[in-house]
Order: sequence, then structure tokens, then C-alpha cells
Amino acid sequence: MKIYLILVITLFINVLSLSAQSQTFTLSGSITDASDGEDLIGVNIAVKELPTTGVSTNTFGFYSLSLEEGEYTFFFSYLGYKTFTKKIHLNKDVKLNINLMLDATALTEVIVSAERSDENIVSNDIGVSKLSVRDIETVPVLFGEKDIMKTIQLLPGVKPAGDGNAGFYVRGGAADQNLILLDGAPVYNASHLMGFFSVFNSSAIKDVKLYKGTMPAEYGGRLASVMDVKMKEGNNKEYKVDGGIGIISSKLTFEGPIVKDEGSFMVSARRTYADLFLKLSNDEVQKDSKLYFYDLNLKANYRIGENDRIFISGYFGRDVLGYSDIFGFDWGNTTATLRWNHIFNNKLFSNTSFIFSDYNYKISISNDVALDISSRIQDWNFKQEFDYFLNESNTIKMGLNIIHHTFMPGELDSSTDDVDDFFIENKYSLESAAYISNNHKINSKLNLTYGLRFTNFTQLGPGTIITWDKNGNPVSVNEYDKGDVVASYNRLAPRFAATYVFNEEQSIKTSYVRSYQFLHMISNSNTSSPTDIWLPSSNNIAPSEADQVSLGYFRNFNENKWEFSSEIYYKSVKNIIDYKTGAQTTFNADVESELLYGDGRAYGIELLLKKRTGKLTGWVSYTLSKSENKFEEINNNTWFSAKQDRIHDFSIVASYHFNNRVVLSGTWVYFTGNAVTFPSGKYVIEGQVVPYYTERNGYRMPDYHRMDVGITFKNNNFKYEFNTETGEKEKVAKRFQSSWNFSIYNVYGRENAYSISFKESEDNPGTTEAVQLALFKFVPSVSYNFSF
Amino acid sequence: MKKLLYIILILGTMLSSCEKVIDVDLKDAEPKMVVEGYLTNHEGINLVVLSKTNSFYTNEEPEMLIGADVVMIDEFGANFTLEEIGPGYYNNKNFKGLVNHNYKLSISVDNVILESQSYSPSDVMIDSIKTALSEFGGPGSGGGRHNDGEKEKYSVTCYFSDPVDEINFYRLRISVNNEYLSGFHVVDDKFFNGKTIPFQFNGIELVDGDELRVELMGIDENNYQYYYTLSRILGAGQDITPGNPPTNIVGDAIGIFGANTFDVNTVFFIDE
Repeated sequence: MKIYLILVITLFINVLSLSAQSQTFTLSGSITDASDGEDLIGVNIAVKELPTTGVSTNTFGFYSLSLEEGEYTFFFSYLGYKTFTKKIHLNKDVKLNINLMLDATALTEVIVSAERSDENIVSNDIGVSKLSVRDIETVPVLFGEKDIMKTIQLLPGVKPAGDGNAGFYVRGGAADQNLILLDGAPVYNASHLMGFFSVFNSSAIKDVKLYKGTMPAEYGGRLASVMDVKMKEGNNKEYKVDGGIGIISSKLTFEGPIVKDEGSFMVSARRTYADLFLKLSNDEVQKDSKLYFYDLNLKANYRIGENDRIFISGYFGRDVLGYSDIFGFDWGNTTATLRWNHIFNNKLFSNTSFIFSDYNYKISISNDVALDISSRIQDWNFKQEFDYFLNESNTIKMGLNIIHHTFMPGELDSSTDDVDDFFIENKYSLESAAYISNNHKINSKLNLTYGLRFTNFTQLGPGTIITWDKNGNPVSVNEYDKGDVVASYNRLAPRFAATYVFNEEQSIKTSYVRSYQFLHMISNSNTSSPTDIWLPSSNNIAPSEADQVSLGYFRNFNENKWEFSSEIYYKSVKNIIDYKTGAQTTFNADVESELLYGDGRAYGIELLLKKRTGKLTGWVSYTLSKSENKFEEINNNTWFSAKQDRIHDFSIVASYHFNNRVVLSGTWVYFTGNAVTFPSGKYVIEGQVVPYYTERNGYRMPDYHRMDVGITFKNNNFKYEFNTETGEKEKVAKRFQSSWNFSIYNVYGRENAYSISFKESEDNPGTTEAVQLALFKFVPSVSYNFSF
Repeated sequence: MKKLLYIILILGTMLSSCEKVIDVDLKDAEPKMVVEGYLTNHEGINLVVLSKTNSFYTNEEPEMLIGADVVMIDEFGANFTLEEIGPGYYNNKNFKGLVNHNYKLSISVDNVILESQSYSPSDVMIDSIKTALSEFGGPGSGGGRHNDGEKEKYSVTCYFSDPVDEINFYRLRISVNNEYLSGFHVVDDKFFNGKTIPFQFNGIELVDGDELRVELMGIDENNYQYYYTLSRILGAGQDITPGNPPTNIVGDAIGIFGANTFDVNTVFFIDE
């Protein structure tokens, strides 16, 4: 089957090649940063003689441009780098690899985003948020731990789930509707320590791109978003050490060439020591407790020949929690990616990956009884992608993706006879997708991307499979052997995006995207938890689907110093999951009998104003939106606010660069409280007051707002050196760079509600009251960062 | 999970988390009838309480439903009428249920008919009760070891033998000197089928000579689901999306009816 598909695609490529004009010649190559050899993504290649023609490098820094024979002047430009100009007489295919130099004047300027300055206007990206690690350097965060995933939540349409809550909501979608990829490997639980930190150690990360449900055909599998996180390749010019020491964590990164210019590696480690606080406790048991996490990122790449490059990357992270020796709990992700880039010819670029991904947790209890509880999800993933640069106006992407999922919902292992061992059958499924999409530049004004993604999702045996009716009663029980097909779904998802560029400063964009989701996170709780499990689509659970249309207006001012964008979207969602009241979601083999299926809809407008250069940089973002659900069994089948429905969401991120050495920065966020279920009455059962509920999500949590501020002092970064060539003193960067960062989270001590519970008053029995719990009022932190 | 939350909260507490009573404007729902009923395999230990919901913040006592016709009906169609022993409280002092039997409840009040049924499981007795200094109690309960000004906290474990080849559900209550511990406590035999189930109550303050009374009820699955949901709704930190626990009352009412088995064991705490 796989071979057959590859054959078909190869044929398709041949057909396309034949249809291409035979008179053209191709300029191709890769573009890297001259200082560290990192691939530069999205470098703009323009042709002086053909102002309407242009391409940009793909995610591996590769570009290809086919033109008729002639004399051309090519500009290779990238924000923050010196533009490279080359005159070429194109009468044969030319290969040109380029190292772009950092712009010396840019060292004194502030680089907020590493991309061409009008990228947001001309690229065919709608509903996309991008951040590079440089963008987040000065943004103040909890405990001073730079976190690209937290900072991206300050952009419009992306909302943090709240204090002490992992996950985020994109355009009204639930937290499980986000696909988080680390070098292509799905990360099933992207948070540490109940969501206070993400698993992405910023020292090891290059950049992140978030598609807010508007993903092109190469992505699929989630309704609301794809967050594509890329790790650094490692410096292939020289060895570098990067480190940071903070109040609750420290990290160290080491990178360098394996063979200069041919290959490089990067190793990054981070460890928190939050449990040191517990040592301050005067309670013996608390003193013996553990609470920390660590991360390890590894990456290496090597150029085997002119046209081949191998990448290996891996991530391993774990949270460890222990309460004396009575209770232990640890969880974490492991991912590994083996990738092979091959340039077949100057038009065809191939990327082949084998990806492994694992998430598991383990709870150990040794009290009266001794037992271990564990759960796991594991993926083996094969990906084949082709970029085919057909001609100057068409770039075709196509590929295959096959994922084998294994779900181990829960296992209880007891070392004694006092407790029964308990095991919920593993679930197996195969998710196979094929896609093709074309980026078609009709002319200098109109740019289209259209594509199709076909997915087959198959639930496989072995297993005893029960079919449940609507009321949760078993209808049939069937035995399946290994490899038997239990249920199979075929889904075809069209993708379309268009950009019309009025001029260098203005464009409008639109898109239509259909997406399907075959994995569903089961979490019947208000907060996320490491024990939340994933359930695949099955004989009982149909895949969820979403249709989203968006329209955006993009405008830059003042020579691209200011960017403005405004996007509106409407999304319709089918087959989402909720739970019967009191459903037991952990350790329940029959959890599928406790589910409810319904629909959703979400719509909104997102505004963003961003300043990218100058002393003052940052952005203001505002989202006005609505997200609603409808279930036959909830609120009499009427539309009700989804938990993540936040009407207003506002954030300001600002950094002021006094000079090269001092940066003051602050963020302020405000959002409408989540929709929640509060009681509208009470009654008494066995003498105890019980809240009486009349509707789902009929109330609101209090509005959330918070301000964080930080200040960064960089040590003197420059020295003056005598340049023997020019005979002048020159300003050059010192090898050893360091900085101090001081920040305060929640500077004005807002008590944002983490939870509100309704209960009988302890002081005043017989009366009932609402009690609010707030976390993190005023958290100062300090960190020291260095590199050499 | 709760334990995990506690540890996070301990850390949070050190970093200035805070709890306070706030004003939340709540709607007033139309009053709804509430049924709380059970019978047991012991003569006279049965009760039906009929009341109505009221506003959440009110200090007034809930309205009790008086003058109702309350009847329990066994599998053979025999009717046992319950008499009103106090406003809204109904009991039959001679009626005794049989284990492994199905019972119906029928209520007629204010021109409304309410019905329910429940299956009484096998009789299970308490084997023993043990106390130990709490090793783990969560914040506030201080884990039992010498927190100034606080009484020492203990765990109380009730042991009972689960019958094999049956799926069983249990509910337990504990009182110290006739004062019941708040909350609802249930367990099933998922991990203990045919074995001794050790059910542990935590963070109980005890001093020498205290009278400990543990009640064990065998209940059916609907009752388990009901009390399990209650325990989670009333538990720490809004554990689940709240809602009314699934009722087994048919008619315009909420609540629960159970045909239970019942056993009770009393011990005196001796501080060694």
C-alpha cells in the first residue's frame, strides 16, 4: 500500500515535470546564517529584472527558482541580515548556497522578528502566529522562566487556560484540539508542574509557528490549531555554551560543529528545584517530598554529501513528585525524530522522517497497600514530504504520513495479594494521511494555496470491543484478533487560502479549512492533569470535524515598523465530546459509555498592532469572540457557552530598550472569566448541604487581569578592536555575554480566581458561602544568563 | 489526584496563594422536590426524607414536604407504608428488607407521583477497624505530626470482605462521639474483588477514649454513582464539572433511593 502510494506520487511528479516549460533554468540552494550555520527559513529571493517574481526558503532553508535564460540580479534578503546581491547569467542550472551575514548595524538595533519586513503582508499565511526565541527574551514570565509557549498565548486568538492550568485555547477550541509538534513529533502533554511551565526549554528552541485552525494540507489531526515547534540545529561554526541560573531552575546548552560547516550538534538540559521550598517546611513529611522536573533536548545534523543531510533530534522530560516515600508520581514525554533531507534535483526537495513519541505517567503508592498505577500513549510515525518547485509561480507540496498509535489507558500493578491487578485493554489505531497542495502565484498581487488532505483512521484489534447505545448500555460485544479492523473512517479535507496584495503595505487574505480530529482527550475535570487520557476514534466515537472560514486585512505603516492585522473567523464543529455528570474518566474500561456527543461553533475578531523595531517594541492584541456548544443531554439541547468562551481578551506586551544594555519590559493581560457552572440553589442530603445546579456554564468566573514587569541588564557586550584591514577601531561583540533579569509576576497582586467553591461555612454552620482560591499573588524572580 | 493538587497547593501557599469568601451573585432556581430514601436489611432502619431546594445563600430551613403517602413495595407486591415521624420524615418501624431483592418506592405528595427502585446487594459485614497516626493528610491537616495547637490526626481503616463473583459497591460513614465526618465516602470492588477491602478515612482528630462508629452499607450501582458524584462535587478544588448527581427518582424530583445492606461497628480509641 505504502509503496503503491509512493509510486503514484512519483508518477505524478513526472507528469508535472513534463508539463513544465523546457526552456527554463533553475537557481537553487540553501541559505544559512553565516555565524552559526542555522538554516534560515523564509529568506526572500527577489529578482531585480522581474519585480513580480520571488520565492522564499522552505523550513530547511532550501530554495529553488526557475526562470527563462537571461541575465538576472538576485537579492537574498532577511530582516536583521545583510542583503546579499548576486548577478547571474542563467544559461544553465545553478546551485548557490549562501551564508547570510548578520547586519552589523542590526546589532545595535533591535531585532524582533527574523523574517522579511513585509512578510506579514505578502505571505499567504492567515491565522498564523509566529514567534522566535529572540522575541521572548525580555518578556517577563512566572519565575523568570522564558517560555515560548506562554508568550505565544499573548497573541490574538490564543488564550491561556489560566493559572495552574496546562494548555491553551485557540479560536474557541478546547485544549485537546491543539496539535503540538516538536521537530515533527507530537507532544501529548506539553506542560510541566500542572501547567506552570511548558516542556519547551527556550534555550533549545529555534522558533514556533502556530496555525490557528488555518493549517495547510501538510498538517492535520486536530481541529483548533497546530503548534509547530522547532529545535535549534546547533552551531556548525564554533562551540558555544549558553546557560541560565534562576531561582527555581537552571539550564545549560552546549552546541558546536561535528565537522565544521558539515554538521553540528546541540545538547540542552534544564532542571528545576522547586522542592527546595519544601525543605523550608517544618513538617517532616513535607521535608521529604520531591517536586521537580527536568528536560533534555538533543539534536544533531550532518551533511552526508552535497544533496543529503541527516538530522537526529530527541527530547526527554519528566516531572517527579513524591510525598515522603508513601506516594510517588511522575510523568513525562519522550520524542525522537530521525530525518533525512534529500535534494533529488534542483526542483525536488524531499524530507523523510521516522518519529517516535511517548507520553506516560506512573503513580506509586506504598501505604497500607503497595501498588503502581500507570498509563501510556505511544506513536510510531513515518512521514514523507516532497517540495516540488515546479516553476516560478507554483510550488507543490505533497506527502504521506502514517502513524501507529498505542494507547494503554490504565494498569494497576500490585506487589501484594491484597489488591487485584487491574488492566484496561490496550487500544491500537493507524492514522494514515496523504496530501497535496500547491502554492500558486497567479500574479504579483494574487497568491493562492490550495490542497487536499485525505486521512484514513482505523481502529485495530486485538481486543474485546463493546458497542454502547446512547444511554450507555452495551449493545454488542465482539472479540477481535491482532490486526483486525474494528472501525475505519475515511475523511477528505480541502484546504484553501488566498492573499491579494494591494501594495507593499496592504493585503487581504482569506481561507477555508476543513479539519478532522481522531484523538480525544478525556478529562472530566476543570483543570488539566497529567492523568488525563487520550481516546482514539472508535466504533463508538466518530471523528470530530471542523470547518473554518477566515478573512483578514493586513496593513503595515511607517516602512513596516508598525504592523496591523485584523482577522475574523467563523468555525463550525461537529462530534465533540462531553461527559455524563459524575463520569469516571480514569481507570474506567467502559469510559466510552459515559460520553456525550455534540456540536460547537465559534466566531470572533482578532486585532493585532505590533511594533517591530525601535526603542519601544511589542504589541497590543485584542480578541472579541464567542464559543458555544450544543449537546442533546445538556441544557435542553440549546447552545451554551463553552468553558473556554472568553468574550474579551486583551494583552499588551511592551519592551523599552533604554540602550544596548538595559531593557525594561512589561505585559498586561485581561480576559473575561471562563464560563462555569455555579449552583442556583441548595438542598440537604444526610444533613449535608449540597449545591443544586440548573444549567451548564451559566455563570462566569471573575475577570482575569494581571501585570508582569521585568528588567534585563546586559553586561557590556562589545569591545573595540583594531581592524588591520581598514586601520580603524571596530565595535565587535564579546565572546562572553551575560545578563541579569529581574521580574515580578502579578505586580499589583491581583487575586485571580483559580477556583470558586460553594460550601457550608465552617465558622457559621447553617449558612453557605462562595470561597475563592487564588494562586500567585506577586511572585518576584531573578535569573542570570550567560553565553560564551 | 487530590494529593497532587495538595502538593501544588503547598508550594502555592508558600508563594502566597490565598483563599477568601467572595460575593457571587447566584440565581434563584424554582424549588425542586428532593427525595432521600433508603431501606436496609434491619428492622426499622429505613427512612424517606422529602424536602425542597431553596436559595443558595438563605439561612432558612428548607421546606419539608408533609402529608405524603410513602410506600415501599417488594418483589412480591407487598406494600409497606411509611408513617410521618416528623415534618417530611417518613419511617416504618417494623419493615425489614431482604438482601438480593428488588424494592420499589412510591411517593404521592401535592398531587405529584414519584417513583424509584433499587436492588439490595449481598450482606457484607465489617471485619475490623484500625487506627494509625496519619502519615498523609493534606495541607491544614498537617500530616498528623505535632502541629502546634492542633489535635493529632489519625487514619481510620475499616476492613471488610468482598464477596467473589459479584460486582459490589459500598458506602461508608464514620462518626466520632456521634458526630459524623462530613463528605460522602464510597468504594467499589474493582481492585479488590473477593478480597479484604481496606477503606481509609483520613485526617481524623482523635483523643484517648473517643468513640468511633463506622457504618458500612452495601449499595447498588445507581447509589454508588450518586454518592460518588456527590463526593467529587463536594470535594476539594472543583474536581469535576459540577452537575446534579444522576438521580434514580422517576418524576419531577431529584435525589436517591437505595435498598441497602447495613452493618455498624463501634470501637473506642486508645492512645498508646
